[in-house]
Amino acid sequence: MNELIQAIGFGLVTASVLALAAVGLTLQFGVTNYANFAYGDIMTLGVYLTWALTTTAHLNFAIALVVAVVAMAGITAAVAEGVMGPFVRRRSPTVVLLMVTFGLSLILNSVILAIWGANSDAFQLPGTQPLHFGPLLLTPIQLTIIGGSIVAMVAIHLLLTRTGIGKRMRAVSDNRDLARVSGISPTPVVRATWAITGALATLAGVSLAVEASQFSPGLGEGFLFVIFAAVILGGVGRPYGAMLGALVVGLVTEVVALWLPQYKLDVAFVVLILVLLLRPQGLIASAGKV
Amino acid sequence: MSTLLPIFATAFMYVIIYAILSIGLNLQYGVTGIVNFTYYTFVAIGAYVAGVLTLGKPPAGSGETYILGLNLPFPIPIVLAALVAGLFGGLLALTVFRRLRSDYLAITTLCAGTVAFDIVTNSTGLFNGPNGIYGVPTPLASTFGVPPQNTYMVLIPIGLVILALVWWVAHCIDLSPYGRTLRAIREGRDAAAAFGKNTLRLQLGVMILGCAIAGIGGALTVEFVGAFNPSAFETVETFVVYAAVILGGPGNNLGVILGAVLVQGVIIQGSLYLPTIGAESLVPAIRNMVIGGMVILVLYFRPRGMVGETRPQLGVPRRRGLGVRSAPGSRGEADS
Repeated sequence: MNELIQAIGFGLVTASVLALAAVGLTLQFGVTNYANFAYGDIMTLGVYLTWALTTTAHLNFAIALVVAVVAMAGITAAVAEGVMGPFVRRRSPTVVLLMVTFGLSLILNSVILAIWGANSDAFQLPGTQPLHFGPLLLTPIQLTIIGGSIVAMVAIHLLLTRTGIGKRMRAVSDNRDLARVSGISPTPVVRATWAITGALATLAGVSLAVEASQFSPGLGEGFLFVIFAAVILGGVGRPYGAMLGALVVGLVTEVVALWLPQYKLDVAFVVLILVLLLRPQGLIASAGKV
Repeated sequence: MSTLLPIFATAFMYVIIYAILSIGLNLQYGVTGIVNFTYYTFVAIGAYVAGVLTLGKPPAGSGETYILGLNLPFPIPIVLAALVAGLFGGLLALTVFRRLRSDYLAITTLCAGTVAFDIVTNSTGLFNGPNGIYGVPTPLASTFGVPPQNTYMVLIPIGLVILALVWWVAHCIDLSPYGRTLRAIREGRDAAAAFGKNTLRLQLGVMILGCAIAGIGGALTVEFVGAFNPSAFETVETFVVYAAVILGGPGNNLGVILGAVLVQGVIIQGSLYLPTIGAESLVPAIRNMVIGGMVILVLYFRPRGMVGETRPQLGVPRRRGLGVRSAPGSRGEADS
């Protein structure tokens, strides 16, 4: 029983990392209407940028993270505008857009390998001593990840419901043509979405790297399929669905890890196949996105 | 001369293997518009299956563990490798080829590839885990008395025969009503379905056939190299085959062979002989940036590749000066 409670605790940590990543991915998927296979490498780039700022520039970790998040928002928006923009304006078929993001994934990963090499690195952070909460053991780092993720989710909620750009994002995501007819220009909305995606990817990547206690250039790519499982479980383009999907996938993977520790993330694939077979529109249905 | 011949023969053998792989992927991506982001997983399945069928039982005390070890003679391992890879391709397709958009299939294939990597790495009893299988003998080498360092002398003829067979099958599909229907599915699946075509069954067939061809390529790889390990699951492996198809000419079987010559023969084999600069991973990283960049540029500036598809647009009579030919990248689902 205690093991189950502990697994649920770890599940909440995984879910927190996953929620950051899945919301970032699903927002962009919904607004631009194609999947981004370079997302894992954007996460990894954010991690290495943060790491470079702490080691080479000797910045405090929190400051380095903030700088990296802002920088990655700009880099992601610029890359999307420069590389994806021409294909989207030409109305290239989805198949081609997917290939371009796949190519971007290879390029970004090669850039990371060329600059930082193939070895594993680690953030040196305090707070690795676990704290006891009854049968539950969580480190201050893990608690910070959970707290940070909740704050980010509330911020995303406020952005989507209280700000003009957030409302426009939801409108474009729901129905681009209808949004355009209503006087919403999709271009700035798409730019803002990519920037938010880059920021969330960086937060998710750094959380993942800190939680896993080390990272290598394959960090994001290895985690990408779990993120996609959470996104599709929640329904593409549904940020609240992605949060729910992240919670489900996070808990399921950690509980399964009690019996099959080496296959814990692969359970996400089983979840994905079940969703595609039983409810391809996701838990929270969205018309026109299947 | 004596030192150059093995280098060129090795490069030539890799080009043959990649030409076979490109034809299989072309059936899926170029002809039918299926995005399979884990094509190389099926190459790996073929390689492992052919490997454990060709090898004998793991020697006692070697610490190696793998299934089967049946010591089967050529060409049975290659045939079975194709069947098993095709079977897995079909199973994957069955779960996702309902009325779902192309993103979902791409995502599911990506996930399946990662899971396959985890299974092969963690289940050491299956294919010897992270170390992979090695010491796979070259077929017919002992029959003809070919020394082990010259295995290409038997494998290049075998590879060329298989390449010719695979090309012939793909060519026949190209000319047949089946091939026309596949192109129709690429241009608009709903329209093809509206004309009474069973798109699920047709796409399933292409998935099985393409993955079986991948399995054949994998079997040839393991019989040529003699070893295979899970590093084959890296994204770049699949991307290299896509690069051959996209640069060569999606939808054109001769074009993708030309693409395999360019990407595998010139870029990849050529970069092996570049001097190491900086860290060991730097030259491959720069090479991958070049391949990725070339693919994106070709997709934008020349979506037809080097040699475009020669078929005229569906329903449009062949006419002089008809610039636009159908190829992925020219038209299709306009939901972006």
